[in-house]
Amino acid sequence: MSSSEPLLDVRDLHVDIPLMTGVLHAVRGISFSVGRGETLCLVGESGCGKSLTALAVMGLLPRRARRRAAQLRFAGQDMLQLDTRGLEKLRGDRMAMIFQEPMTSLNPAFTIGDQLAEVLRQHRPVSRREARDRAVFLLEKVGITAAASRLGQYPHQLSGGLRQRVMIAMALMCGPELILADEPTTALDVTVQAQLLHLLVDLQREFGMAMIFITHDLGVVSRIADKVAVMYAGKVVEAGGCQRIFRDPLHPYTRGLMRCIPVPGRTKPGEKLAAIPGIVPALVGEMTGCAFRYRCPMAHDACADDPVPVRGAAGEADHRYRCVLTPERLREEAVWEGAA
Amino acid sequence: MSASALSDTGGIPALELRRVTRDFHVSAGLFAGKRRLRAVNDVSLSIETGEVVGLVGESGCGKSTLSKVLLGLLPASAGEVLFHGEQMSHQKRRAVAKRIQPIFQDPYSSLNPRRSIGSIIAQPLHVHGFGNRTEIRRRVSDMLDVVGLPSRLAQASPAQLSGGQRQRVAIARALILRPEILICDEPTSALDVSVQSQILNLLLDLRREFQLTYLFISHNLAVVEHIATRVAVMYLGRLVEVAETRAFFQAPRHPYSQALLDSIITPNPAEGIPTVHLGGSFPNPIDPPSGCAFHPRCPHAMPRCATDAPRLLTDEAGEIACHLTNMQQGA
Repeated sequence: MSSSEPLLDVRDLHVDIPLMTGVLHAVRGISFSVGRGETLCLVGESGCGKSLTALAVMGLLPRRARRRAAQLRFAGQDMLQLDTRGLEKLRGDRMAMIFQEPMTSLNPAFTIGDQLAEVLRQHRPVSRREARDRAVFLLEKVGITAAASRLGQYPHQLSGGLRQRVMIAMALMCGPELILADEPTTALDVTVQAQLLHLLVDLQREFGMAMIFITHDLGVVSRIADKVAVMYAGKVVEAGGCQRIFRDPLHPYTRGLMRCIPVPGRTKPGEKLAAIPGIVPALVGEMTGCAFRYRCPMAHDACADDPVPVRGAAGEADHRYRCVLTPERLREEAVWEGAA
Repeated sequence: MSASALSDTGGIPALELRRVTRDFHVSAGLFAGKRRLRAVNDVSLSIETGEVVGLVGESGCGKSTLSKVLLGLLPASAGEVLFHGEQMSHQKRRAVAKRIQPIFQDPYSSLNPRRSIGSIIAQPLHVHGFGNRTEIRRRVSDMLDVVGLPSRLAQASPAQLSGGQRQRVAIARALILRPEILICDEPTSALDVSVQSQILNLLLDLRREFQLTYLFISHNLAVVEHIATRVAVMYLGRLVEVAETRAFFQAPRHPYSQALLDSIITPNPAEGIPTVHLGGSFPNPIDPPSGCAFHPRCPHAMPRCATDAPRLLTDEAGEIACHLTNMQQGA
């Protein structure tokens, strides 16, 4: 593997789910890459395909979902060619996933010690003792006090925050190169969220892991991302470096998202917030043109045509967005009414 | 009581909690029998007409139990709830329901999936024996308009609606009896951010239009700052601080309030993740810490905090229960 090759390279990924009423095109041709040690945030609202994207990368899609891609390479391996055994060797070992809801992703019938040790013993020829030591080491790393005594506990005996720490420790058991975290802090209280994000970012730096972090929370994105991809209706509508995306968002959807949240110190209490009218379109069946045009205040006839051009912002090769309008045109208008 | 309390209601709050306590008896284990869980502990709070009181705190702190007591859905174990100065327990459940209505978090489980939207919204009218059919239909259609839904949706079923539309239906149902007070329990937490702003805007408009009073329960402090006029912070069943929103966000006084504010993560790529100085984890409510329940996590804890529970004291800036502030003020 050459040094310039990204750790994960995804080209033209599609996820289709056949339904009674037709085919649901949940992910409609997205491309992204993640370098070693880098954090990519996938941002979007429910139904935009961000979670399915992560599951497609992990090979964990629901059985009836179909995945196709022009390229899916991880650490120099072509994942499209891997069979189930090959995938199982990668998963949990070199790439690991942290889910939103730790209560449903831990097995209630086994102690956390058993569950942690199993991950390592599945992938490495280690003794029980060594696996246990690694579990204690990582539980301490994720800030769990009296780690050794926790090994015998069951998931229901832990609080939500502790369970999510256990999930993080479990993901780290084999020292993966890539972590996929799907809304890992959304179900937690705000104070716990800040602590866990800190922990995750510190560990990521310490172990040099790359991370794909999925969230709808732009605040979190702005604080942890190197790169951001904003998704809408199964497509990436804007992508670029974190600083760029927050300083100079171009796509009307990205700009709408940033305007519609109350921000202490910026939005004026009690004033109208910007609101994106309407709802996300159904993704069943064929769709042409820009999927956001039904809700976009700048939409016009050309938005219905295929393909929607992918443009770059001048002087920033990495900052790209999918819209018929030029950056100049997009910047000149206050797209969204409401609290600025 | 603040100056704003002396409004045209002659200083009688719309809703008042006086030393309300609510206990649950929960199983402590297979053979350990039942133990008492004090979900709401000696809470006194008054809500003036026209106010929006934001109630914040971590999950398990008793916010939702408190809201159920206010709605009359759970009786208080001790203390009393006064509604315009009259004890709620002396009033008929139906009479109270007409004037206080809830909006719940999850619009997926709070609407009957087998009923049409129109009949869901009309249900309170039927319960209260209002009007004839034409009158009810007209009211429902008016109310759909008020919450920004097309009147053709009256025939739709909840399954055909998005989360935001469902929450509008829940709001319409709550408003159809023209109540004075809405108890909103995390009304936007289950919604996407773009939809959340639609609902917040709607709630703010409705408040002006119908002169409503809100108790707004949320864990999202940015949302609370946006909508509330006053903030009440709850920790393990007790109120620890009550203050005007502006003052609260400028200078929170209780160490727990400070930690909550420190945890707000606003979009700002120039900053990292905030460090929250909060030791330990949320305590077990069945076995609460001695003294001030917050002391095991408090960065300023003193020996006294482990033994005496601080009282909620009122001063010009609001109410606060902390030995540190009380000491600084020579109380």
